Amino acid sequence: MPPTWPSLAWLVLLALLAELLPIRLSDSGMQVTVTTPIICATIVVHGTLEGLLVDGIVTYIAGSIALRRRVDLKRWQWVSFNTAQAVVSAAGAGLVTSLIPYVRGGSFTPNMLVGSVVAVGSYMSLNSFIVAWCQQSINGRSVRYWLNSMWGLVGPQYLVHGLMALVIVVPYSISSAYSAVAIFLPIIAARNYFRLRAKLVASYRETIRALGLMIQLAHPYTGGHLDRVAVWGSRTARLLGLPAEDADLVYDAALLHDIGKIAVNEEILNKPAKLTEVEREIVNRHPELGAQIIGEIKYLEPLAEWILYHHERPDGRGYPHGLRDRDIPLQSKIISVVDAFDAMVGGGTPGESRPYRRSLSLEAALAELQRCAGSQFDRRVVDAFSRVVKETAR
Amino acid sequence: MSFLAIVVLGIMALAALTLCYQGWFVLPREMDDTYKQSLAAFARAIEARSNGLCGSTEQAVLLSVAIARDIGLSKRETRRLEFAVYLRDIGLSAVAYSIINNPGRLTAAQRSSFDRHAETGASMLDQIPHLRELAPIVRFHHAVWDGEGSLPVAKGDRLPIQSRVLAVVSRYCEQVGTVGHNDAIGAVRAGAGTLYDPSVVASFSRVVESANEPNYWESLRRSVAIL
Repeated sequence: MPPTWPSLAWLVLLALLAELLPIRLSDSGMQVTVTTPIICATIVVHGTLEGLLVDGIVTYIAGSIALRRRVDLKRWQWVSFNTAQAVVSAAGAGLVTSLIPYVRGGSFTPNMLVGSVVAVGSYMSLNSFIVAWCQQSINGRSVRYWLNSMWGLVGPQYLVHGLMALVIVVPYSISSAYSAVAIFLPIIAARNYFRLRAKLVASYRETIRALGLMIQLAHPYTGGHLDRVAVWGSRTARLLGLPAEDADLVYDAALLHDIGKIAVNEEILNKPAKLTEVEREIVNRHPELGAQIIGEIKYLEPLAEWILYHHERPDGRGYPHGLRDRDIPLQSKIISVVDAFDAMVGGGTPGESRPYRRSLSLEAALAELQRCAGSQFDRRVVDAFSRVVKETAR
Repeated sequence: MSFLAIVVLGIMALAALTLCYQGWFVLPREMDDTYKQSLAAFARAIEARSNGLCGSTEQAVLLSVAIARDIGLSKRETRRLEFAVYLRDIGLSAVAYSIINNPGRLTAAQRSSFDRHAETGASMLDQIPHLRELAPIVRFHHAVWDGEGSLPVAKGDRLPIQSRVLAVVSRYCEQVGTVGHNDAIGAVRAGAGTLYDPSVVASFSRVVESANEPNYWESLRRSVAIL
């Protein structure tokens, strides 16, 4: 298959389109493009010079378009640098790939598959090395540091790019250059998928925030308290060895743990004196109410259970069900400890302290937690939490 | 074509199809479910706080959607109305428990504190990006049709149509529990042209015409595919 000009122009067009259709992986703005597999496919099917040419042209045009769109990048050096870097990466990848024996521009052989994987690997390695090296000369730190920091993104990307290069190379070398357009189906599907995924995650967060807002409006004192319980709670969870995602869920659960109090009269909650039997019963319903309120939201299901049991005690004298030690979820135990602690220290500002209790110092509150460890609180959680407090206070 | 090539192509085609399926069928569904479940949770929280004094949310949804159909609202607008029904009283979370659950008459100060719940609810929704578009509906869901005696922010046709429907439905659902079906309808009809949009009241009358029949709500539930 000779490298005719129309097919090269076609590749430039495809690569440019791919460059302009980035896939946003997360809401924080991390995005990838699948230009690299197209470049690598060009290298494999046609040869080094062609790949280098396509890469150079595409990076230059895409860079110029980005310059027009983004005011923060008003520097032509940036475009030239990117172009140079692309050309060098493509040349390096071509050089390495040329060690694999098969006829460039010829018909399909299994060696082309090996070539695609090698091309993508060497292209991306060289590319990350150049970026890391530039980071080092601009921002300091070692090349190794920057390479390590990129690996989390580049690793999975390598896999995807490798596979995509294969998908382009195979039909391309078997039939024609125009079959490579098939790559846009996965691109568009992936863009749509990740866009929705990000939206879904955002709506989860917003719902949790909104529910938190509701309880804060009903009981203004809870605002700062909930935030602190969330922060301390998730730290304690991590220290206790829960994975990061679970610690994040503890954070959410802590924000929502008192949502059931929305149905409790503020006058009872803020009452300066001891509560009557009836009032106590009303207050003690809040874990169940909270669990009911969020229980039907499927992704908050695990949280409902933790909220339900955040007033249970290892000695079985808690409410609502009087569960014993090992039946109480660890997450509930964490919330219970941090909740009690923050209530004891009164949150630091006088306005936020609960009306029926005097504020204690940090040390006195920790001592109180230790005293009740084993009966009211889980000993392991109290120990971990004390460590968190001491480390933060230092 | 070599065997390996077929395998690779097959895997990629499968991956692409999975992404398509997930992105165009599974995720939108999941998103919808999440949306509905969170709305229902907000409604449950408020129902718990007001001890059902504002009537059942399900009834309110059924009536609202039926009225929207009768008026001929677009699908999109009907959906917004449906969502707003769940959130209409979210601002009650900032109103004192004793005022919401007051069995007797409220003083003027208490009344105005209670009336602020529409505005509070709207400003809460304003802070939540995916619910923001519902804020105006909630803001005006107790607004008076002829503007008499209320803040001169909006009246008549300037009120969102969903707010006008909600005003009628809210009144009915609040009253039906205490004074019964006929008097609740009477209260709404008496307000046509002053408190409520007359055309909405006309639609409402048509919808609740047969509400006294034993399986009215059942059939309404069937005809209105809610949430």
